[in-house]
Amino acid sequence: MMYRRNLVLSILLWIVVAGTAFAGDVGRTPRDTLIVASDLNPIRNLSPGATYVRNALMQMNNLYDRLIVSPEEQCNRRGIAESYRISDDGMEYVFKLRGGLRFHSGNPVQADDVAFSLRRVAKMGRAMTRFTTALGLTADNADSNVIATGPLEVTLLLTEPLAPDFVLNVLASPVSFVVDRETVMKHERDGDLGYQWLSRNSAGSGPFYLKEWEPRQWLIMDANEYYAGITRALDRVIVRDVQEPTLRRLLVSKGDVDIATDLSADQLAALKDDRAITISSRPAARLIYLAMNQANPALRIPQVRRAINLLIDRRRIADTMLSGTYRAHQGFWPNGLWAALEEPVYEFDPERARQLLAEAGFPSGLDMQLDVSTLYPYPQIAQSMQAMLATGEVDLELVFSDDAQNLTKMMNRRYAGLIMRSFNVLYPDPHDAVEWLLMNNDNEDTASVRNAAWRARYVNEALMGQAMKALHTRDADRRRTLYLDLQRALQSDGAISILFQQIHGVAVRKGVSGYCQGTLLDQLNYGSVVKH
Amino acid sequence: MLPTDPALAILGDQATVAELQRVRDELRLDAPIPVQFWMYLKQLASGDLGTSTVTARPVLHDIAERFPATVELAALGALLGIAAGVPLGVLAAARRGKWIDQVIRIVSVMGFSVPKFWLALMALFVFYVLLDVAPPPGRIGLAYVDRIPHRTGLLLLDSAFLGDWEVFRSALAHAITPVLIFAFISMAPITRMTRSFMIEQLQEEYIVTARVKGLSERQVVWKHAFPAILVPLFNVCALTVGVMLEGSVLIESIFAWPGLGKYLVDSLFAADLNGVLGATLVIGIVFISLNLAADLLGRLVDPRTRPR
Repeated sequence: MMYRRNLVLSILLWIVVAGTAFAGDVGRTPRDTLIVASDLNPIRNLSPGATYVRNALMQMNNLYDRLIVSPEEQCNRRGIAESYRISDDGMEYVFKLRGGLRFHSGNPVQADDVAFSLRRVAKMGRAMTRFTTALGLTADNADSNVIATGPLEVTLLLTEPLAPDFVLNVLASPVSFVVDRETVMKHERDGDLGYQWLSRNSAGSGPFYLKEWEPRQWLIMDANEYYAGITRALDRVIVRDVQEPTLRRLLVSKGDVDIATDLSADQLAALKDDRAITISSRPAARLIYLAMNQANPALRIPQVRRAINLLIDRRRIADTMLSGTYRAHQGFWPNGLWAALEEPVYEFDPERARQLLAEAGFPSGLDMQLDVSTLYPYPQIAQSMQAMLATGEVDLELVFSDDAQNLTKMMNRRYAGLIMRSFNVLYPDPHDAVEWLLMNNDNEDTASVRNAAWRARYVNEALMGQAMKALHTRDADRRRTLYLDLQRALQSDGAISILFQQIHGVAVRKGVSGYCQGTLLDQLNYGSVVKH
Repeated sequence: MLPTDPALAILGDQATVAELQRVRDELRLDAPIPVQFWMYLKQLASGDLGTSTVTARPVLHDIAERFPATVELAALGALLGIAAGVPLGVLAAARRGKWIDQVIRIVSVMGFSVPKFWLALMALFVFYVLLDVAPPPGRIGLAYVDRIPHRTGLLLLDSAFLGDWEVFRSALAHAITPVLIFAFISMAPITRMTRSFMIEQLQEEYIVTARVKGLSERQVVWKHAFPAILVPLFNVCALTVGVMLEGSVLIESIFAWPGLGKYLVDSLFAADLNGVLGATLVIGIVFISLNLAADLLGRLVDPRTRPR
């Protein structure tokens, strides 16, 4: 009897303690701190020039300023250069820098820092080195081709006359994040140009600096007191690493975070009627494409490729399965950017598809395999495609695998027929997409460039020639026309077929204003956010 | 052998061949498997568990940071589970066949049968989503990130020691739900085994003698029968704590608790081989150590089990 009483008393005591503790911490977010729930999963380092992981660049955009910004900059950021001039022969670019800018260390931003930042990327041999290579900069010539020609003047010398738009668009990308040379070199180790130290620290002049990054937990940025941009209302930004979209939705609907990003269609639909939440949508520079392995004999036939494309009703899939998160798109350059192709190349037409298959020697249809990643939205798209292709007598077998496995299969060219992947725009010039989706100068297994075209064994000399012509065309209007034609031609050929463009679907709590995420994936600016 | 290329998992889709090869060289992925294994063993002999490709820090450092978080949950859960499970088991045995025995048995069967992840999700749904009495998943409120003490890594202990009661309260609030889940899971086997051991003891002749001598039932149960089951009970408790370590993988993931279990899951999904190997090794060592400790404790308590 006695110990039964003691047991009951213990349980009651525990409930009281628990209740006290619970009551204490159901707090919401502080006014001077923005809390964002995002999937920071693939971030491995935050060193400028060493990563092009979308999530990393988005956060780094708040730590660093670029040399120049794109004309399509949507988030009120300014470049470090206030003006530039280009020589008549197009080989020399001179940038005049703004005065009075400071890094968060307090050091002034000078031409030496800009020159160092670009040379550093060229010499490091890491992710963004190929951007500087595209400008003709190498580890050998970087010192002589990027020069501080005055305290606030930087000169870039090219090795060949490239389209000025192209050069400026590359420089408007994160390749030109400017770092504090003095701070970086203090932490250099074994000639790494500060790569290790910058992986977990920052040395920029952006609205924030990196206070702490704990992988799989959070990334904390504190206000840069020397920032010369627009007045900030936030002292701190905490980006919580939350990999599960359901949990991100829960956190924002409960008010435990201010913003939740990367929500799926059903998550956004669930939040639509929540009066405390605003859904912000903008086209993103991320495309889903379908690659057709040219090792498959059926897929080498143009009519078969076109038939498959005619059997995919992109608009219906986007409206029903991907509502609010993806839109139908058929050009390799995303909507929202200059030279994007707006009109569709293919309309859903099963009748025409069956005719093409018959012409190709498949009057009773054919069997095809589609390798699918289990990440959203690939399974949803694949299952819709399976039903749609069946109307054209194409029996589509779906092979599901984890995303990393799916990627490995594509990388090793071990998929039997079709595979779907996505492509992020890294710099705001159509040549970025062309380099990834079309250029395949070496189709052998030993090739050093293994882009999407290589992985699909796709070689189209005519289109590659057109692409190089566009790269060297100086007139902007003419260049635009060439890229529009190229988009139609590539889509029409069908081996690398664009399906959808992502829409940034972000849930923002009422009372939070000024949040800006531009079309370009790295255009994310917390500096303009105000909490009421 | 792996279906996933770790270098691709690290660098992503648009990595160049040169970058992929650089990472493969750094991780020695192109070496034959026996060579890779031998090199890993050599490293291990010098206490080096390699570098994590996710955090870019030594795996040993990562584990040292995360292990206390798991210990905190597992220890509190185990203590609660033992504190509840042992008396319940004794009560059930002493009241064998009565309604209290039936209720306790049903509750302990539930602890065995209900999947841990479902229990954790339901707890999150009920306490956080519906009732709004629990904080969001995580180990501490984000308002306190600057005040996290770094002494033992046991947040409750460190904050209490420093007298930072706000941090203590926040840490306790975040810990309660996962601790209760751990406690429920560990209570089930402890209750059942305690009940079985006690029933066996209560049927012994010495117990009959004790009753005949006129001792109270409480004295018979606690002073005579209970000490006899301590040694096997220690083993059960040790095994239960070990099992909880494996349960921590799911529960920590659901509650975003930055412990060893979550570290293992994150490493798996990120193809971080060093992280996976290191975490698995540590869990194995802890499991073996717990069993060894239980054996030694048993010998201390019961001289008959000591070697002659």
